[in-house]
Amino acid sequence: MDSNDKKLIKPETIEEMTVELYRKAATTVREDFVRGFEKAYAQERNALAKRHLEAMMKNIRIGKEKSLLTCGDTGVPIFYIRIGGNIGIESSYSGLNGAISAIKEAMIIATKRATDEVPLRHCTVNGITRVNAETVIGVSVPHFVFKFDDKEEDLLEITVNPKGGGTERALPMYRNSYLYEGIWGVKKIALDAVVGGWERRYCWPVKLGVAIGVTPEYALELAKEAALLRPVGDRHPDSKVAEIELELLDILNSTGIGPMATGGDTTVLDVSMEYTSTSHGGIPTGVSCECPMAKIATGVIYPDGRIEYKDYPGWFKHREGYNE
Amino acid sequence: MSKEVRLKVPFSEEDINKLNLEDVVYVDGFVFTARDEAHKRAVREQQEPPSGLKKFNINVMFHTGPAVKRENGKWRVCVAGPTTANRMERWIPEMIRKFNLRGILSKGLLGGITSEACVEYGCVFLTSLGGESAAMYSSGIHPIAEAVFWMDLGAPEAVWVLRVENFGPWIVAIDARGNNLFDPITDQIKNRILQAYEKLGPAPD
Repeated sequence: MDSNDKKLIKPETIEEMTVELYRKAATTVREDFVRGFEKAYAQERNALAKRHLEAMMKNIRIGKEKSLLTCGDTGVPIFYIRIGGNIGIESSYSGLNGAISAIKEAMIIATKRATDEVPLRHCTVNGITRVNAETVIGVSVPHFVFKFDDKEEDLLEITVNPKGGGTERALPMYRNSYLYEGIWGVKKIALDAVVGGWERRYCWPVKLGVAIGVTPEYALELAKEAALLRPVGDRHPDSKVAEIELELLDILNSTGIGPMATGGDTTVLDVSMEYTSTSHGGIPTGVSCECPMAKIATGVIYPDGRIEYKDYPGWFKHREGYNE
Repeated sequence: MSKEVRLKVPFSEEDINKLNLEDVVYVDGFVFTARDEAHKRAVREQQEPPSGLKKFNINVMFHTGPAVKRENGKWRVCVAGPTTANRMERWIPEMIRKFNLRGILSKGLLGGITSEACVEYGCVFLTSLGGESAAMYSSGIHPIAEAVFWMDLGAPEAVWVLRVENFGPWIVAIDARGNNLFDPITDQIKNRILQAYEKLGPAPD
């Protein structure tokens, strides 16, 4: 027997864990968000805002107790898959493509099962015709994001995010901060995005992600990953970035938009900022967010087939080219 | 001081005239659902309300797209939480007229054209507490759907008839006199936003 065989993860294990992650993502809210709500509730001074937060916390409790969707918009499925170390996947195809295909196939089967078993709402429509095929699977949906983390031990980490449409419609923003504006411009873009989101209406408070990316599209993608994949209360290891996060948290909460935009102190639960190096010619800045019912769940599969459910992913555990 | 009331569908003119901003309403009886596509069909495409809807005598529209599952020949409503009203606002005055609405159960806020329609036709706009909060709102919805129309729009966009009991809480956001809870709040937020830009400070030279 080849010694590498021990490291092969079975597609069935991926499928089982993914179905459970869908259930967790759709019916429970991540602990760091729950703690964020509790803290916000304790600090909130606006009476109507307090009632909104109270209702949201009650909704989270009922969702967990009765295994009900905390938000009806189970959206389009997005997967963040981190492949650590020297993990292998059992597959009838060979090579890297074989392993990736096996992961995707298992997760698409899991998506079909979860749609029926959780169940999920059929939110996916064709981008042109708007026809709902009564499944959550569509053209390039589910959407897969892979990260190959060779500094990590042997593991397969999967984060399931049935992404609702409301926050996606209203807030995300890309702009280039002018060079003369520098980081001030980045902060202004974050504030403009929050104000724009308020004007277009959806559920507040959100967790905000802000990123400077290598190019525009990656800035937005990184902002989204920061919003979704870092927990509430987490600070960037670079103190300069952590300082911007805290300053933005203060500025954005001073807008007074508040829970469900009826006024209050709680507009954003937290701000997570990420950056890459970029061209000396510009500051590509993206802003994105996760909605209050945070439909995210993470699990890890080890080479021995063991499954472990995590509070949040280790997506940013090893930032490439970054010296702490 | 706001009050808490239970109202039975169909809402009467007297029922809604008693409601003031920030009153809390719980609803009993039948409601019908609609999202963007149903509004579009009724208003832009000028289709009449589904004929089968008449016998339920419903004058309350619930903005939602339920998550449903077919079980033993019936539709089980897994959850249905309120969805954002303002996406549909351009069509709402005509929906109020066409469906003889006295109440809209929804999420978020609506503005001037809805306030005017509420006065003209005698309707109130009731908004949710805690946003979508699907699990919480679903505890007031009977698990089996009574009827469904316009299913070709896809299950979430179809018009569902749901039986509800002690369904809420809903906050009166536009009353029958056209007062809008959000008007003063929006002004306050606009002021606070200016202060937030001041806090950010001016751009570097």
